[in-house]
Amino acid sequence: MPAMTRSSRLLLFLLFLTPAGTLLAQGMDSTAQAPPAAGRIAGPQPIPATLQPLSGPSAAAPTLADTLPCPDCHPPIRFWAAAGELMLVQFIPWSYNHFARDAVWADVSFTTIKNNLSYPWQWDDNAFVNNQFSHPYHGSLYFNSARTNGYSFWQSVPWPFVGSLMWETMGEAWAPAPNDFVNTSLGGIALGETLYRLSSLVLDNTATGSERTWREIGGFAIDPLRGFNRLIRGESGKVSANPPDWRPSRVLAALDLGYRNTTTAFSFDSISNGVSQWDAQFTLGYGDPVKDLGGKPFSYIALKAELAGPADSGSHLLGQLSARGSLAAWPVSSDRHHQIALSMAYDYFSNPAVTYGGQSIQAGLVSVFGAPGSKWFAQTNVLLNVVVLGATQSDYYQTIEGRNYDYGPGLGSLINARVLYNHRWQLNASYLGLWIHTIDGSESAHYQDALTFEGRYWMTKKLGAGVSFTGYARHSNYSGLPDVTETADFFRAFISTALPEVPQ
Amino acid sequence: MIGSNASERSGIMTSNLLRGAVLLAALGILGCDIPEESLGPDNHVNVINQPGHFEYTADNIENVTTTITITWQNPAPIAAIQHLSFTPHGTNLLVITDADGKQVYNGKLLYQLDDQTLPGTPGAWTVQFQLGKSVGQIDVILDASYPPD
Repeated sequence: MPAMTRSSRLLLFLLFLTPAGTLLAQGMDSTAQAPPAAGRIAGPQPIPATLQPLSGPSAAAPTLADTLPCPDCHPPIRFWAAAGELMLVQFIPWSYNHFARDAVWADVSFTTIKNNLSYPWQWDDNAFVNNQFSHPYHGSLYFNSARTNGYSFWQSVPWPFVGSLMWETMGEAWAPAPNDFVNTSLGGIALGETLYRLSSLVLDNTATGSERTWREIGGFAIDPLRGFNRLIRGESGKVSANPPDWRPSRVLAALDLGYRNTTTAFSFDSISNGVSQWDAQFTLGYGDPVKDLGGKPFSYIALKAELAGPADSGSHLLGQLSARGSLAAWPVSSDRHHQIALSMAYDYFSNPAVTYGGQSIQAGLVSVFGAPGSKWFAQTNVLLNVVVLGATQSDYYQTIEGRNYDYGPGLGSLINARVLYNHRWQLNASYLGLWIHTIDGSESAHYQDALTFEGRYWMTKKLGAGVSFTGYARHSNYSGLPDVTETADFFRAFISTALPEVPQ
Repeated sequence: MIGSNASERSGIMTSNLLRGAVLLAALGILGCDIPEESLGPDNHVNVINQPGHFEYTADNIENVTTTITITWQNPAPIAAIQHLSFTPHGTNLLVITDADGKQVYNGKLLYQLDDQTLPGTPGAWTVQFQLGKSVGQIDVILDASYPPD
């Protein structure tokens, strides 16, 4: 049994740690890089290697894999299993709160259901992490109850809406909350499909032995319902072919480890005055950022997760979790280097200076210049950001339950450019502008801007170092209260490892 | 053929799920207009009103709209508040004013949270419960509290 490469192991490990970004550099064409993996049962057709080679022998040569069945290629739809699991992922948290914690809100009855269906919905005042992370993650389980039981992406989309509606009306005695419904459903779709795709990246039906065991454990950690289904159906140990869509055309991840300084009042000595933290940032570009945009939904995913510590009272260890997945695209040039793209995004930011979370739809022009691996390569995005519901830090709306943010829809823009020169020098520049109109919280409108410059130098295909600077500003207009302007600067210095490696 | 049947089945199921969701949403919208009530014997109102200590409980509250005002003797400048209420629907406010009539607290009736008033003038404080289309149970305890030296 061939051992996994070290970079593959590291990427697998990081994926386990990452429950669900900004774009990373263009993905690598990993099929060209894949060394043969002796002893591996090859797939039924050429599968682009991603984390590590999965198909060793040439596709031209018939192998044992040609005769392998591929039950995951066309899985049957299992409605009752999906419905049962939708109930299960509601029953587990409900029963814990009802039986173990004796929580009054979990004491549901026909009366509470009738009340929830009769009285108006109410925005809730829960803490940021509950509303902007826990609810979307719960929604991802609703989504995956269908997705891992044979449903396609679009067929799975209604499930988090229905699951959330069930929870809000029947799973708790609190009044149904519109913010919970939006965050659970839209966030659940974005996180759910991201996690489903990432688990596909980790799983390998052709693997055997300890590698297979570790891959199944990893797949389970990333997408628990899928792991559960594979276990009870005996799929976790069965050797079969990998469906082609389990492997994206390209993949490139980077892990940055370093130092971050956050200041709210810039000066030349601000680094000594700011908040100093260790910082670990994981970015993943899944799929080709241009060619795959028009494929199945989420054929291209940009994922970013950041941990920073020590966490202070205003932030959490999880500083950022962002996932953006492609939905559709329309070429505007014959070579498909320029496309109008549609995507959906989930965002969570909680650091010493910024608290923001939201569910959004993005549309705009995505372009590439040059080819991956050539001396010059660049990719640009000019996107309109339609925020269905955003949670922005409030200066006046503070509740004892822990809510300190305003809710509202909004509009914004996302412009970024990334240049890779000579396979070594990488420059990223991005601008994010956002307007949020508050509909619950303090009567206000929030305007946020963030400008980021990042430079990296890849000393080898796998090892690099870099620095980044982000200038952030929030201007909040309040009705009847003084307006507030907050600024912050983030400086990051890091060493970076590319997984599997920077395209050459 | 199998794939086609499965696809049709899933389409029907998806459509049924959507219908269910629309029905639930419609029920929620249509059911908003319910006659409002006041607190009565069914609500088992219980008040303990002693100098420095105050408790108010009421349960079985269904669509109640009312304002309850009670005078309480607080010998201290602050009152510690134990919120044990559970009022999932409606507007449910606790408003407290000190002996000079200055508002020292204005907040929602909360579930399992502790809080305290702003400093005020000791003496006859006013404790007011403002309920609008309220559902649930009220359980509030106030205790005289002194700021640390």
